[in-house]
Amino acid sequence: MNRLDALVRDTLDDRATGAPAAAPVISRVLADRSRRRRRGWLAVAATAAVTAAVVAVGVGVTRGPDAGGPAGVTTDTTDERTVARYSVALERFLRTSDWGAGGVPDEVYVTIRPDTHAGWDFNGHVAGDPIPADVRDEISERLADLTHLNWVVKDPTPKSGTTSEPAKAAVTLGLLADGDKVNVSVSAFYGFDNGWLQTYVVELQHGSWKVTGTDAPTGLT
Amino acid sequence: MAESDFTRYVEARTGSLLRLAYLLAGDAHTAEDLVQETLLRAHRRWDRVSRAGSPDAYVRRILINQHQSWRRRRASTELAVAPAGLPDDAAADTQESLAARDLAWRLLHELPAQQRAVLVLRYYEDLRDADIADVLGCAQGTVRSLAARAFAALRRHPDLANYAVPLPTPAPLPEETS
Repeated sequence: MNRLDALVRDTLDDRATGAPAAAPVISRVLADRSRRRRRGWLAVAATAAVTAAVVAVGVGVTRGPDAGGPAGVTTDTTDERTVARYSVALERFLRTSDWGAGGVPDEVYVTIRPDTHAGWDFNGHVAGDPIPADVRDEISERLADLTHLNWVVKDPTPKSGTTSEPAKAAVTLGLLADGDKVNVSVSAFYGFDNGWLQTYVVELQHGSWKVTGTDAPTGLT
Repeated sequence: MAESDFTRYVEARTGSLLRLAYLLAGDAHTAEDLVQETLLRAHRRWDRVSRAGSPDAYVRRILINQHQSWRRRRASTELAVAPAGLPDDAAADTQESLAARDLAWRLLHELPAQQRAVLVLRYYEDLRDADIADVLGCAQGTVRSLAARAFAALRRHPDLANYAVPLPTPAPLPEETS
């Protein structure tokens, strides 16, 4: 009897010979890469020019024309730890949840306010402060290959009734505690009546944050 | 960013990525688009990619995600299975085996994207299940489950029903004694 895996292997080996030639793609990638880099430098230069102008105006207004000394120090407000912890938990959640035959939705709504129980209404739940915009942007960028995150103030998914709109996936994150080993809850509503919640143990190991396990949701313990 | 590293990577690996993309997508134009977008995305974060232990794993992961997104965007299930060039020794193949491969190629493209990805990564790229799990971002058990479901789907076709499904490697037999 023939083996199915041998047939699959032979089929793939045969068909791979029909793959397109590499040279044109290499040329396009390297050319496009150079164009994007030039655009990037132009954008940086433009931003720097605008920033310099704003700083100059600010110094002029607040200190007057004779003021001296440094114009000020910019502070990076991105909380790298928050970005990393939310990103790894959210990625694990999106990849491992059962979204049906279509896999991870192309677009996922994420509420900008984390919540004590990631939005689940047991034992009372309290919304936290909104996740800062730069943190949201960085999380979106890290997950860009998986899906598009659309940050919203309010969960847009209908919880009951019927609608002709396609199903939307809405995610709420849990609040973060301090420390190098924290629980990160993530919940989702999808369609009308599909909702689930998971709490991940996220740890700092050898300089990077990793999901190392799961835990009972905060509100159930 | 080491631009020269990226250039070398593109020159060395584009051919291999195109074959992978072609086996996943089933048509040449889509394969080109997928690889081009994959490499440009990799370029944007090349610092992170090159710091990874294996840039190939990272880039394959981007490619698989790109392919899955492309599949989702595609409204119809229309197949674009262009006839691939037959190998030179095709004449030596029996008509039966050629027909079986044609059928297998068509059925592979009817599988869900993740199941097909598992078969391509396992039987064309020769990756171990642990590496496939890393590329797909899932557990090894999920990889085995996806492969089993893919084979079950292939065997549902009456012309492949008699093909034996691959079994897990059996434990070594005890040495024979005389």
